[in-house]
Amino acid sequence: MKTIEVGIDLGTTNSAIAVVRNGEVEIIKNSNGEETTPSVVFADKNGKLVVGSKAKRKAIDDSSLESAKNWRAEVKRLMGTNETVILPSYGSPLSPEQISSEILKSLLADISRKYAEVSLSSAVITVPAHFSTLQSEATKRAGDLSGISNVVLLQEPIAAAVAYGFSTNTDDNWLVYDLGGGTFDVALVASRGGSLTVLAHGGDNFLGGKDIDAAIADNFIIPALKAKGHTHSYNDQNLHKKLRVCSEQGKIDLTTSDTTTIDIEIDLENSTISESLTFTRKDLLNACQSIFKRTVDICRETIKESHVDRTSIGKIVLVGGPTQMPVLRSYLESELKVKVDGSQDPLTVVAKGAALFAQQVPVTALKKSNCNLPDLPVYQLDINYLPVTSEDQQTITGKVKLPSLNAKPAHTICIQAEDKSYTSGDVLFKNDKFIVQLPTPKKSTQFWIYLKDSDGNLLEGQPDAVSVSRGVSISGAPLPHSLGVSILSLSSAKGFAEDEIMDIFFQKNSILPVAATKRYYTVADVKASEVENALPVRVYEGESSTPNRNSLVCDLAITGEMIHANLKKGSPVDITISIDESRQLSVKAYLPEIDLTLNARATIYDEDISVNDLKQTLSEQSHRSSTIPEDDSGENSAQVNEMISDLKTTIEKSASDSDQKRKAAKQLKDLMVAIDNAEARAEFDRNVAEFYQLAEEVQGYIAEANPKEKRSEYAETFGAIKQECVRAIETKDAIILKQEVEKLGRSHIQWLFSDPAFLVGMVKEAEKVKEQSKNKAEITKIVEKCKEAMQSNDVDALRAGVLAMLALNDQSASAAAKTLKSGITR
Amino acid sequence: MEAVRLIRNAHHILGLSTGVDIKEIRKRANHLLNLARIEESEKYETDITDMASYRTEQNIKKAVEQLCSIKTRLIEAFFWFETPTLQDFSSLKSISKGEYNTAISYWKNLSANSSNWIAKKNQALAHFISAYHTGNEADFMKSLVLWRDIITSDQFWSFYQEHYKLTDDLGTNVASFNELRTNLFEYLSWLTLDLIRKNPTPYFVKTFFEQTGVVGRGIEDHILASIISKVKTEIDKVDMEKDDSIKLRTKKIAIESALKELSAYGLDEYSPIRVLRENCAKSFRDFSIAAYNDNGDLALSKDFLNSAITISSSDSFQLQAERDKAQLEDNAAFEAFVKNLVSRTKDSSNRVKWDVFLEEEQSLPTHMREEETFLNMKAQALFNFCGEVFQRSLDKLDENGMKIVFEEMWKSLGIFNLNGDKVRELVSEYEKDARANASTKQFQKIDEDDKSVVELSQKIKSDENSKVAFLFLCRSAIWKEAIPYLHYHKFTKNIQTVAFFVGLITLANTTWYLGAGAWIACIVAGSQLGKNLYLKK
Repeated sequence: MKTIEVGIDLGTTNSAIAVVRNGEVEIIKNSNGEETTPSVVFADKNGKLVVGSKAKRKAIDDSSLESAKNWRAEVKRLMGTNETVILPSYGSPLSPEQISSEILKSLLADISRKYAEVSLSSAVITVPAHFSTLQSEATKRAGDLSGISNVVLLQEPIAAAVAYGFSTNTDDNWLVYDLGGGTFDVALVASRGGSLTVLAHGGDNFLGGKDIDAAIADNFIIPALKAKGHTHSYNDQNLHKKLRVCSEQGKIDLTTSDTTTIDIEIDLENSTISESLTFTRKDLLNACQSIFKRTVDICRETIKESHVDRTSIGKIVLVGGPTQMPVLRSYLESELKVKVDGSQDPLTVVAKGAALFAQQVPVTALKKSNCNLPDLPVYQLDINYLPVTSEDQQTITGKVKLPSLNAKPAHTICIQAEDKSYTSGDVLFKNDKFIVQLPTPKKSTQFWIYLKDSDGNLLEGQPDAVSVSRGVSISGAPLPHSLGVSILSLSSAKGFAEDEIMDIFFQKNSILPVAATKRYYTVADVKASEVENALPVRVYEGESSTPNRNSLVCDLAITGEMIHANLKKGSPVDITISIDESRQLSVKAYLPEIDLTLNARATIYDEDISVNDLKQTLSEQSHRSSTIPEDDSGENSAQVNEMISDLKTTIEKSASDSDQKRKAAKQLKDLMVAIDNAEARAEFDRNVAEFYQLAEEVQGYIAEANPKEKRSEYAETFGAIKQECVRAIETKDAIILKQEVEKLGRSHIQWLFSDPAFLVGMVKEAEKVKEQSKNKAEITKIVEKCKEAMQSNDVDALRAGVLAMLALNDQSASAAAKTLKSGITR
Repeated sequence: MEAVRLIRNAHHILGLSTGVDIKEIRKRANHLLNLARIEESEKYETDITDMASYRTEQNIKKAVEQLCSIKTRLIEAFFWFETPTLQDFSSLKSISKGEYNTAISYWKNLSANSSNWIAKKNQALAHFISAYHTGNEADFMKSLVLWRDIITSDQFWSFYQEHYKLTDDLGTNVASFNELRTNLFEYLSWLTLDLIRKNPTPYFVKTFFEQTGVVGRGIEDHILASIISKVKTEIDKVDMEKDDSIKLRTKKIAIESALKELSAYGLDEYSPIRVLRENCAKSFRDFSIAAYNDNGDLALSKDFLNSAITISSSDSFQLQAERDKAQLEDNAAFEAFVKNLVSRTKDSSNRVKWDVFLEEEQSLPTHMREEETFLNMKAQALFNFCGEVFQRSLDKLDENGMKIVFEEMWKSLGIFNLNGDKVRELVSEYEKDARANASTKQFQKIDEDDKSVVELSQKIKSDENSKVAFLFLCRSAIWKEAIPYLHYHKFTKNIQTVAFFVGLITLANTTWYLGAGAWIACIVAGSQLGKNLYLKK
């Protein structure tokens, strides 16, 4: 039974590939002799796609407009979106998956050149730990396009941990700090006796070396150039890109020296920038401190989430090109008070780890359905074992399937090491099953499998051998985000009011693969043959209990056309979600009443985002945040204000950069969650304040209320509500307090509208302001009617008139619900 | 909030004791996983039930996940037996054999004689397991009492933190213990959910809520949600069925019975349930009002209002609903009053109508007789009656009729918004003037006074009814005083004619002085007779 041999680090700026040969990992160099290949694609004049250093050189050296249009880097940031990349020389638009597949093809070609015998149909490809399901699926599609039929995805920090675990054998907790070209991941890993466990992980898909280059350009180069009198438009994308290239070089130089010079030679349309700037490590730290701080904040959050005692963290394991900066290393050590370990090459450690992990994955176990095995007279064995384990021995189990009904049953199984160091002896099959304890040899060993019938004759079994080696084992890749469906549920916190919530199928950190089925019920009738989305079911990933604060993974567009019979409200719907090791998501809906299974996943790409929508939502959220009362520390508002300010900057950049648009969308969701939390924290206090204010108003009103004989009744009701409120405040009962405050508000309004004096006042007020109203004609008419009512002492008619006036100004009806409500409930 | 399970505790699934390290957990998990993949399982002597059906691939993987995460590992360890000694281990085996009391006695003795916190925690768990298997309510209660002792004891938590760290190979931080302590009852509610599923009686929810003040997400979602959902669905339907009183009553009964079911869980004081009840009560009240206002269905309206009062959870609502109920009763009484009035006065005179009104009004409660609507109605009946009598009396110069009008109006002065003393004063003035003017035959002045009353009434700052009443009162006062004089003057005029003829006849037949004497005697006697006839009070 073979295992995968290839591990690939498909990075934002650089990619690397490694193979396992005889238990040893080897990084495969590209045709230029480099261990890493730039993740850059260039379309030459003939429309041929060029990948790697040559493509990157085109970007740096050739500043002609045509060349600039024909290359593309950092495509990883577009994965999972339906955006396309246009390289004019190539002709047709390319999807991010297609471009990634070109990079993969180039890496695979490097292997073929050196080891033609290595199977390239299966590979482990790494993805950032914080990648969404859609981004992971897109990566898998890129693998398929490049010819890798069996793609196993592994999270980058885990791959790095495996590589570190392979070389060091300490029982420690490690913080894997993976700052790549475009993404940042952090994972807290427990290493115990060669077994790795991910305790927590976090990250930011919009933070990486690219942002450090931009920060150097923005915070160091541009101010320095301005100081020297270069007053250009630095918003020009082409100029900024060139400054970023200069920044990158300066950054790289400072990894080996304390001071360097950034030489800028840029020809512009009407002028030239020719400057030489002295750049020190201190300048670098000053320019990038906010980015470093952000990574440290994420590390701290991850440590907090892991519930680990900080003193138990033995080291920070560094991964990714930017971690080579000495400035960053000392910053991390001083901020996190943990020593850093950069013993492995941060550029290739992920590919190495991927290859080491690859040898734990048996090839045949991946896609059994795809194996069109010929109908040979062989006994098929379904064996359960770990190809790589840190244990001294393991339980290996399996089942045998007879080649035909008439075939003689397998009677015994014997497993024998190829060096004869171990034999299990003949173990009897029991109901076609066997259980054997298999020792783990010190080096990788092949174990032969012998099947015999009851007469002792050897039978031909498949597979006929398994390979086991001792090594770093990991139980599997954890799910980076919780995943669930949105449902209508009764929220106890809102007095069992109907609320849209995210019903979690799989918690964050669940070990893949996972599968689960849950039963729900339709919230409305579903009519057969109706064209519209009759049963909206939406799958989200994220940690908020409010669905639209999370990322939409997919819609299940179940329309009436898909069903052949009507479904009544309350009909059961079984939703099954499964995610395989490669984060491939499958969602099915089974309707038991009509015995119909629907695999109706409607979307595979991320939502389209419009900058105008982002701006509008930001404005709504800013208004929302302004209504939250300040907490004692002011921390809430400070955090929210900072988020709003960051988001504004990102939205400004979004107009010309789709990457920034996605970043803004993510930041917006984070902002909404922060405001939700701040609101929830402030709600009780706000209700208390509202109660006292309202109570004062109502008390004052009752003394003057009309008709007079109602005053005692009002006072009695007010007294009862007040008593309930005071009790709720004393017992901190937020639910009852909210209910009673609402009740007091309702009663107050009801009393006012029964009060002729108030109604007359309203009419007079309306008469005063009618000139400014856009509904002047209608208001005039209503005012006349009200006056008639006043003359005839008809309070009911007066009230009806006032209500009609208010209805004219009521805008609430126009506020349409923005999100589609879920069609299922528990 | 993570779900915590009783039988599906991660340690129980893997057949491991608490405190084992990650390596051991992985090893055991891989062993059980590979067995599960060929539908085989393993038995361990500490299994407290038959675990074959629980040791599935999914549950084993879940258990590994739980024990590989610091937070959930702590929770799983906390809610599982700890067996540091052989006797502890042997007690756990007793539990697996169903000998709960043996285990409970052992741990009880240990914790009673010393502050053995581990024994106390084991005892709490043992009671819980016993309650789970036997449905014994006393065990459940004892368990809760012990858990309460544990949660409130600072001593326990400082001990447990140190104790746990002895075998903790992952480096659990202090915050994890604080978090566990804060949410302990919430976690315990998940275990209680397992218990309730096996022993479905409301007692366990009720007792859990009473003892801890917590219901818990699991119990809410899996036990209460279906009942709450039923309540809400039926409430929504009430309005849809508003035209079918039988269906409506069925819905009402369904809602009441679902709420009773919730009450049986002892959760009437649980805030979300209180809000739910209040919302139901409000819907019932709204419907009650609509049933009365739109359909005039008093019985249905009262029925819903009574239910609203019963299910409501707040004093303010009950006050309001009680008022509504009183209003409904008043409305019913008023309707009966009107009905009787109409049936008894069909084709009757205004006099009869007024008498019947006075008679029937006695059936109404006092406060209703003071209400504006009623008073308006009464005023109208009075005006109808007085108007008719007044006009007839004026036409026929019927002093008695005027007196009747005056007296009836005077008796009913209280229903009008008039100052009695001032009216009395004015009326006296008018009476006096009327007498004076009538006696001196200044009829024009009487007419002028009559007209001035009309003008005066318009100036009164009061409602229309009061103005009309004032008018009736003053005019009837003038005319009741004036009419006798009118009659008297007419009589004396007639007497003078008669006296003239009597004097003339007497003169013709006798002497002139007898004729003159007879004429004078007639005039004097006639005047005296007229006074006696018309002006004698």
